Amino acid sequence: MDKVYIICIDDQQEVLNALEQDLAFFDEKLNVEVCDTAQEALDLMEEIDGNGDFVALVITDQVMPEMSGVELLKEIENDERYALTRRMLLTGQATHHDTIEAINLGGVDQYLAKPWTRDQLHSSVRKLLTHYFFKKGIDYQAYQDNLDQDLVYKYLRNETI
Amino acid sequence: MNSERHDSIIRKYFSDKDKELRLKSGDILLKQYELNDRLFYIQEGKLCGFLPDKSLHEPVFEAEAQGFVGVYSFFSADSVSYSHVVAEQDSIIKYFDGDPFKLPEQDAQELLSFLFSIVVGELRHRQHFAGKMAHERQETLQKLIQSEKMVTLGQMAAGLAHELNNSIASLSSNLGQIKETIGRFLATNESKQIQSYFQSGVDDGQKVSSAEARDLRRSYGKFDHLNKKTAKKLSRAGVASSELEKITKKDKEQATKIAELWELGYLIHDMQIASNQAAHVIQSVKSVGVANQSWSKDVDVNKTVSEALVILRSLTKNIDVESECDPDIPLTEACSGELVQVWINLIKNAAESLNASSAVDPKISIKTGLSGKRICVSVIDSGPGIPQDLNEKVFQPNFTTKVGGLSFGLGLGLTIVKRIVNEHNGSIEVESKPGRTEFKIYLPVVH
Repeated sequence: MDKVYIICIDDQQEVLNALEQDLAFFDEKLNVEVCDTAQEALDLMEEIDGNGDFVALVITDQVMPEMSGVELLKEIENDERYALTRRMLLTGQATHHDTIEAINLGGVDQYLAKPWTRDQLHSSVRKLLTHYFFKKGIDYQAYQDNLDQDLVYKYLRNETI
Repeated sequence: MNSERHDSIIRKYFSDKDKELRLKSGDILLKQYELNDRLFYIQEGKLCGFLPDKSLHEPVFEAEAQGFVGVYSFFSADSVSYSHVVAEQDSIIKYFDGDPFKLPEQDAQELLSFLFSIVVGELRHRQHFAGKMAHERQETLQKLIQSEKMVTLGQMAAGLAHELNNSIASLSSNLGQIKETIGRFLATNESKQIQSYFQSGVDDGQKVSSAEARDLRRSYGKFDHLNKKTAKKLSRAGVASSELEKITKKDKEQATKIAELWELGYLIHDMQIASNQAAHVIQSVKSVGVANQSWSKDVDVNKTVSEALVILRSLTKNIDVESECDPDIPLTEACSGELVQVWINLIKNAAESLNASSAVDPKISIKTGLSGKRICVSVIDSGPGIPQDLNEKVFQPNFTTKVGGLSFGLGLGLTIVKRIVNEHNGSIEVESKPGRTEFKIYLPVVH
């Protein structure tokens, strides 16, 4: 059943580990994978997709060497295979310009400021996963406790767009 | 102005040997409110006008060679000098004290039309001068406001630093306590092997990259009894598949225990680094804001170097640090606390560059010695060096090349170094190529 992935990217190991710890709950039914470069994440996504599995959510830091978070999200957005993949940007010091670019070019679904709280993170992840599951048409029943209940009902009543 | 006409007027009306004054710098030509019926021509030197009654310290006008003084009082109805005119330099003054209206008509016309242009020129000149003074005053005021702000910021930073340092000190010392207690507990209850996993977590943190950890985890395939959580932790601890086989042979539960203990150790490691970094950031901010340490006349530069090395011991433990201090360098006037800051920043930069680049045989050497009449301290590292195009930028605030890893730098390090070196009237040189980067600080010997 381990077919759905959440991928986290941050170049600072301690942030990455904090993120992984805070997402441990989701790792029970889904898979939480961590990468310390954007390229590593793209390679991993390639592999997951090759195995016929799903990348439901990408959570990335903005400020990283080589490839920034927005650049990574832009690349994912332009890849058909990940058209429905949800994108979350984590950032400690976003400028106005970065924010605009992230929304316009990176198709960011959710912005999360560092330091985050576990509740904040969980509630955002649940919502994004719910969108992914319903848009992708994956049977949500087995994953109920990883999803946002209100949003699930809305999907069931066809109230969402 | 037509200089031929000017010269001929000067020759004709301002060259009487009996109507010459020689002033020493500081001599007074006219007192404020003094009656004056002379028009002064400055042949040599410089004069300034002041308004003592307005208690202004800046001059209201200045006149140099070929300029005129006494213009207002000479032509005004009451013949009173409105300003106090003082020689700024040794000056030679010629004056005219006749009544131009009583000269023969042709001469009167010649002199008056010349004087008319002088008066207009003088007015324009003084207006210009007043504008310039006002502008300068404005600028000084701005600088004052700015420095006032910096002082406030510095005081705030110092207060903030004090409070935060207390919190950090408590976190850091409790952390040490927790580490020791766990260590003691493990020593009495567990095998050497299990202790070693906890210790490696504490000492080294996570050594493998996320990709390496993933590869390790995949190699665990055959251990189907391992749950995902444990496998993840073991892979991050860098436990190889063969090692895992040995561990699980004896006791299947052993693997879980090792994973948990390594993680515990690793969490302590990260927290310790985070608290050290927080302390460093606070120190940096404090040092930029205020020069809070005192100067002394007999500072031993070698001692400041060894203090810095002590402070950085934990950061440089995986680096070969060599110091070569010349015991004969003289004592000098300096601020020892600030010098320690300089060495800390330079050594810390070197260590971080070595660690970040995973250099082979990382090495830092610190040398002190005399170079001519100056003390020279050089910090040399075997890291990848500073790219040529960044050489200029490294001293700017907020410039940082630090990427990844545990680096919470503010990018203030070299800016602080430069400020402190400047305050000591010293100079700084950088020479960098791959494999050898040298920062040289020259300090004058002051007694």
